[in-house]
Amino acid sequence: MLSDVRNYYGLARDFGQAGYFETEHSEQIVSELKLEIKAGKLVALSGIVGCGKTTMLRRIQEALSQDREILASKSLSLEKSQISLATLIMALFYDLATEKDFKIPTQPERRERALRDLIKKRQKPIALFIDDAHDLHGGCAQDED
Amino acid sequence: MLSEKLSTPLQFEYYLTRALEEAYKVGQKPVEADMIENVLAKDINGLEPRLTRQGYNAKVLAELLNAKPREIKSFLSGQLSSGRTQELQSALLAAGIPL
Repeated sequence: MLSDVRNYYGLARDFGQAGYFETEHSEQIVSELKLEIKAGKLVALSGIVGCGKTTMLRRIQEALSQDREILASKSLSLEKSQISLATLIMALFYDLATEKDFKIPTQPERRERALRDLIKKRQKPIALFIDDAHDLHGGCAQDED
Repeated sequence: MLSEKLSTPLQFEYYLTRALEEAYKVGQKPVEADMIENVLAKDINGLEPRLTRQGYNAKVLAELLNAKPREIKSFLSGQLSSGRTQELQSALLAAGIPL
């Protein structure tokens, strides 16, 4: 929205920046999701377009970061239909590697072993977040977020 | 009026912004109901928008129902025969897709 419009109607900010209205129900969902994540489960968060799935995921990631019990990793690739297991493994490497010039092994067996060692080194459970997961690999995945 | 026709935060954000922008152009303050009515998409709760909000666009539906995209587009715009429309609706319901 243009600032002229906002000023005309006395709005301090755009509606999109109005804040997060948390209902009892949404609080319960976040609480349940955090428990499921901590239990090491595969969780699918689904809902209609625009209902707040992505926003909720961001809040959960922030909450996990603040709790410091679980490391949050996230696949950032926008081309969801091109995402493969290798892409997700790469996302984990990028988010977990502590060395500045870390190189991801190209050979699959070596790569997976390196990831296993990296996970052990970080000494915390890891949650991998994938937004818009319904488009993964040509729509094969059933989870949405 | 908005709460009757809209259901998600994204819709409220979009249409409130549209209404204020359009009302601003003609200097309307406060924004009146007719302005809101004008900016709301006429077919906002039609079959195609509802399915799209659930993640089922024409391409996905064509794959799911084993139909041609052109036929799905006709189905969504209500231009198929009643018999075939009924078949596709039954197939969607059988697949667990809410209509």
